[in-house]
Amino acid sequence: MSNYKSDKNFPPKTAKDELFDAVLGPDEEISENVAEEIMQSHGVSREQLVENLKTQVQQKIKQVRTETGLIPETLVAMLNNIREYQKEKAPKPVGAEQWVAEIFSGAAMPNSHAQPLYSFRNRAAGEVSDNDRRILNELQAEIED
Amino acid sequence: MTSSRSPQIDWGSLLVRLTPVAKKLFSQSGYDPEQDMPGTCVSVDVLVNGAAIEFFEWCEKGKWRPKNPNADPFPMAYRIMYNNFIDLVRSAGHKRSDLLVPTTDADGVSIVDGLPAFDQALNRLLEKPIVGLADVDAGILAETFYPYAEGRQELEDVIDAVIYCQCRKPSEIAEWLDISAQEVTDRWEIIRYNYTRHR
Repeated sequence: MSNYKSDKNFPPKTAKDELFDAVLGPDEEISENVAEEIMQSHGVSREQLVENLKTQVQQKIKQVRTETGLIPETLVAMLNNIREYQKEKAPKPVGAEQWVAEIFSGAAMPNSHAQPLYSFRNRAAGEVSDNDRRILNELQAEIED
Repeated sequence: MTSSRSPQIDWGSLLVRLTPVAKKLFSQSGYDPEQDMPGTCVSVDVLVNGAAIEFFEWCEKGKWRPKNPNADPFPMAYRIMYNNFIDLVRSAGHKRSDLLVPTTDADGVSIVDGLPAFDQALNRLLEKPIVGLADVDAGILAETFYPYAEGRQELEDVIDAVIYCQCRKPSEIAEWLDISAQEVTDRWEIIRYNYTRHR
């Protein structure tokens, strides 16, 4: 919980909002997992949302500068805050030797690493076609030779 | 340079929760969450980002001081967004724009009559609460929500508990359905997902 000093009198929820809260659960308690799933269904990642926010803040800074000639310090601070966040969340660069060593160390690979792609086919697509099966058999025979 | 007062905010966690809630607010108020609110230039993204900016300004002014570094800013940011949304809906500009929207469909039939059925039913139900009765108004409300249960009886039970039995708190719903509060939360999540997901 936080302790904030409110200078706004937030309006109470309407009866309609309370009804929706009772059927769908209170908005304040939406879980991050469900929220993420909903956004995935819309094809939007949290990284995209942060990038959109950054773009909007940049536009607002530009707009204020154009209209007033002043630099909006709070917005600049926010932009830096977002950039720092993005920098922290970005995968850390890993040297090739360290990367290979970690693969063979047997330890679980950190999330920053690219994951090997074992198959580009979806199981739901069913069995491989006869032609693909023939190619695979030929490759298998070549390897065994 | 970043202000030394600026808190570390998990922007991804904040925005990924604010955005589906904003979409829900648009939908439940009768607006298409994929478009700007009629008569305004405010989309879901603009509403969410505006709330995030305002929240950050509050932080800079020291109006939000987390007791611990892991404090969740979502409840505060949500209240700001909800407040802005209510202001927007009530704004004079928006009301004026309503007059520009056609009030009849292609066949000349009033589309306004059909729009507030949910609200009318809700108002009548609030004035005249019924418990355990298959009231027409309650039926209108229930039918509004049933599609989001997608035929699952356990989800329709939650809707019925709220609409017909006037349960509001999770403990009331849980008691009425003889399930745990956690089960209520789990069912809520599915209904919310069905309501807000991309269709």
